[in-house]
Amino acid sequence: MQKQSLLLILIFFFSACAGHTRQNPLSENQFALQSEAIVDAIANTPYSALIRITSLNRIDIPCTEKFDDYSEQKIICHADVIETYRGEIQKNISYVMYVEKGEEPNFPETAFIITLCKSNEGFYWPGVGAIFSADIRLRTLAKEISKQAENKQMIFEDCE
Amino acid sequence: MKNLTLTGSVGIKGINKPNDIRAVQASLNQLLNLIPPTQKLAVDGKLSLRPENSGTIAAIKRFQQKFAGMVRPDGRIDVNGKTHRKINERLRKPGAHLTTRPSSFLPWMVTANREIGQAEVAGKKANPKILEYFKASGFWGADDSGASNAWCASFVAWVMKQSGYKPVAKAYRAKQWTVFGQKINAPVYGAIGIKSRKGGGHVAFVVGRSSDGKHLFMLGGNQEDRVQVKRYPLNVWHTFVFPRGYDTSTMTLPVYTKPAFNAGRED
Repeated sequence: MQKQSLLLILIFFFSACAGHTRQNPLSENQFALQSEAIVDAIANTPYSALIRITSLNRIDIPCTEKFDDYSEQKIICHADVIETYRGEIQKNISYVMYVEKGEEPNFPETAFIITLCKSNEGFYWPGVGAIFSADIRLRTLAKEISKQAENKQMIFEDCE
Repeated sequence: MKNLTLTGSVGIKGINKPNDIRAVQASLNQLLNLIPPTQKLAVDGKLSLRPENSGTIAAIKRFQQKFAGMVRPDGRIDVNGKTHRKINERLRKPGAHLTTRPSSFLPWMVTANREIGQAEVAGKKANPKILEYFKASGFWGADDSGASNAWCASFVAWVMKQSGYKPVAKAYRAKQWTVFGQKINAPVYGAIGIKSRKGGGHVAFVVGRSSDGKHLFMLGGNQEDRVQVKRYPLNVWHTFVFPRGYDTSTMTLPVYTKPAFNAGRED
């Protein structure tokens, strides 16, 4: 009985872990596009990881000028880190996305690879082209590319 | 605009009186946008020692090819000849100059205007046209909605590609467009404007200004989830670029008088 319970717990645990990264394989065309871009994105940002979003907070940014029709929002994204490719290893992470007011972030429902920039205030999203599929081939590529990354790199093109 | 008056022929094997050459140079400068990639001509009354190598002759030939129906242009304007008459027709024609009817001379603006109304499809489906924009920029997004798939830069990439311009590297990122073509100091009709914010930014085509000069009207993609003209404060735009081969010093920025999102009609 005890053995059966243990087995059930193990099955549950492994299927929950798999759920973090379950992903339909990318088509060859999609893989070609994303693999080329991820190499560039990892080289040009200080942090990259496989993450899963856990919660979001929105904060309005007040206009600095008296313009009536222009405002931005800050979305603070909290996520579990499943695999770290570049940067400090941590179990979870928070980062900021700056968007125009009312715009939704629309993250993938499952885990995804992200590249992030860092400022004195913490991590922030560098813009379009920083989110990639969790396809196993891309994850393998991300690991390989990150090994070649320069630890002392100071300038990150995507963060300029 | 002032008519071209000549006392003798100008060009290859022409009489080439300095005052007549000056008049031709000044007139062609008024029509530069009809004969790209002609650059502004020096109004000095001179042709080079070998006139066939002169910029003025090249401009005459371009005009003849395009507007006088000459398959083999002779590079000469005879008094009251066909080229002379066609130049005057163009000078008299309202809207011949870019500042009064700009969109007809900038092919990418014609394309961009045709796309007005293309909009995101809510949910997981996507507008196939927006996926075409993605393809032009090399972006892999399969959904057209949300900040992660912001498609303003992909729209610019698609529009410019339709007019034969190669998009910049990583053209799906708005900020990348700062390295396209030539940088210009002030916005003109048809320029590509780039605004930055921490993480991302926005890119769109300049179509006009407000009468007080404090706002720009920008035609772009992903402006409230669609291709449309939207009003923005001038000071949020930090870089303007324009395709190479155009002399933007002769171009201006008209007051925008058509309807736009978040703006009433401007007078």
